Amino acid sequence: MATFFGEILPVRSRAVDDDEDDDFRGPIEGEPILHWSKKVKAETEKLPDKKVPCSNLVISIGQEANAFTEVYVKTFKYEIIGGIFSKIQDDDPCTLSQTSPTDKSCFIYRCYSNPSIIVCQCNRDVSQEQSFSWAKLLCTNINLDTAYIAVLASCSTGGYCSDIPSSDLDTPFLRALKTEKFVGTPICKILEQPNMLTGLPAQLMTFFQVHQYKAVIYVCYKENRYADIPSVKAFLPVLEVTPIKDMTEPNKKAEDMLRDIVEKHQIHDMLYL
Amino acid sequence: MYIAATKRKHDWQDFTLILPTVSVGNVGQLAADLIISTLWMERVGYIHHPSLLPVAGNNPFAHEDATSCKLATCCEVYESISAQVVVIQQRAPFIKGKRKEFADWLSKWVKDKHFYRVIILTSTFAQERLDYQMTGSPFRILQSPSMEEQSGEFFRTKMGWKELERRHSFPAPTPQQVAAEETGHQLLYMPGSGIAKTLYENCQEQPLLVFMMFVSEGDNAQDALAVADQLNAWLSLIEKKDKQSKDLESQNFAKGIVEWKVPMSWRLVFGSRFDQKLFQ
Repeated sequence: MATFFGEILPVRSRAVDDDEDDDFRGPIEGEPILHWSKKVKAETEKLPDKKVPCSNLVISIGQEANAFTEVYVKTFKYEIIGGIFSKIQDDDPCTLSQTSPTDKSCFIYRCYSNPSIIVCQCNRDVSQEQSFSWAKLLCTNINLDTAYIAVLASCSTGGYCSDIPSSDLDTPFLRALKTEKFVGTPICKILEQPNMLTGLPAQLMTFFQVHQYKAVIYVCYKENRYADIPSVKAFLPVLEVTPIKDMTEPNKKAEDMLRDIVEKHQIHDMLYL
Repeated sequence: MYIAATKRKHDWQDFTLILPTVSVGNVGQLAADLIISTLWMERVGYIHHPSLLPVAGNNPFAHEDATSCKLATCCEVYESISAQVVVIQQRAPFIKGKRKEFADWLSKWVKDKHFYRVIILTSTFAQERLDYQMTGSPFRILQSPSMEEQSGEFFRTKMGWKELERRHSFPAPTPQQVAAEETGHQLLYMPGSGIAKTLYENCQEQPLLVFMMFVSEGDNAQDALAVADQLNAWLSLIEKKDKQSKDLESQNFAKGIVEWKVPMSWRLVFGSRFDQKLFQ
């Protein structure tokens, strides 16, 4: 395709690749599995809808959002109550204990002092194809009818379109989207058209919108591949708004913890080696 | 599955369904965009199906100065009660290998809703045309038997729309085959038209029209205008604007035979603006 400026770009046809895939039998990707701890399983068995009760749910997707959640959101004591598991790649950094903040893991945590506060930290790559079952697992196993939900995610500025030239963008910056039922006003600008979210964040918001849950998503547009301190700190305004403002307290050790996590991520950065 | 966004009951028996498929240049979807935005159609439901890739964004049809957020998902159903039209807008492609599952589900849904008529908007690769398709109108139609009965004559004489020429074999007949076969194998050859063919074959009992255009990938806004104009010439969805409405003639109104309102989401097709200093 030739663009307005005359460059020739290789574009894949947006049409579905010809008449092809009706009989497609490619390798089937494993469906993600949700696993609750024994304690929570026993608790939910007693409930009529068999779902984990929840008033505030924070879902963090990707390195920056997870680092932020780890340092600034989970300031009280939390216990692991479950996880969503799917295949990990050979080159995914993982420790045996699966507890390092850089591990490709996805655990669901619950606050000790207020068990209706749930945090889901997804630090693994969930493909677009898997995202439907992933989101469905979460929505069918946690009772979200009255919950306030916040999704934190990050996105590269590479695909961000705006009237401002990309060289003049002040990165990192936050953008938000909310579902119809979420009545509050997000703390930052709404994501401008024609920009769109894709992948797991988009799938989660779709679920929350069609099932009429109260949800808001904050997306950090960043430049680096691995988490750095400014991109994590870009989420800071989120601490002032529903539902996160009701579940945190200032963390005195924040700076040290953050530096530690970012350093661990940077180890994997081979760009200048 | 279809999930209604409002509690209102819908009775679509007198309604026309406009159903664009994801196809070359997304012409059908772009034309649907024009219809939805010009008629100010209301979103009445979502199609939430595991075969579709997820996307989420702010209202594509919002006013330029709007600051509110109205989440749009990958496949939505719009309705205009005054024009008696329902449009299904799909904004994302299919997951590989799950296309047929969706097409079968959608055909069943369309049949269940008993629309007055169904119009599938699609497009097919311009480079696949045969010699005799090179000149003349780039539009082609396919009709189900009941549609043929309803308005087949009208399409041919008044609208000047041609049936899509069937092909003898794939990819093109040899001269011998053409000479030998007069009523031989009649293949529908519409590459790049997405699920249009499956839907057409599944919904033969419905009054159904497939409206397609030969196009190439690129900036397909003009193709979309052409499709929307053709459709409007038949359905008269939008009145021709008279000269009084000059105040509406801003940038956002594209001129075809009628004036279509270009939605917000068509901005920045070629990406961000660039730094002017680059060229000094």
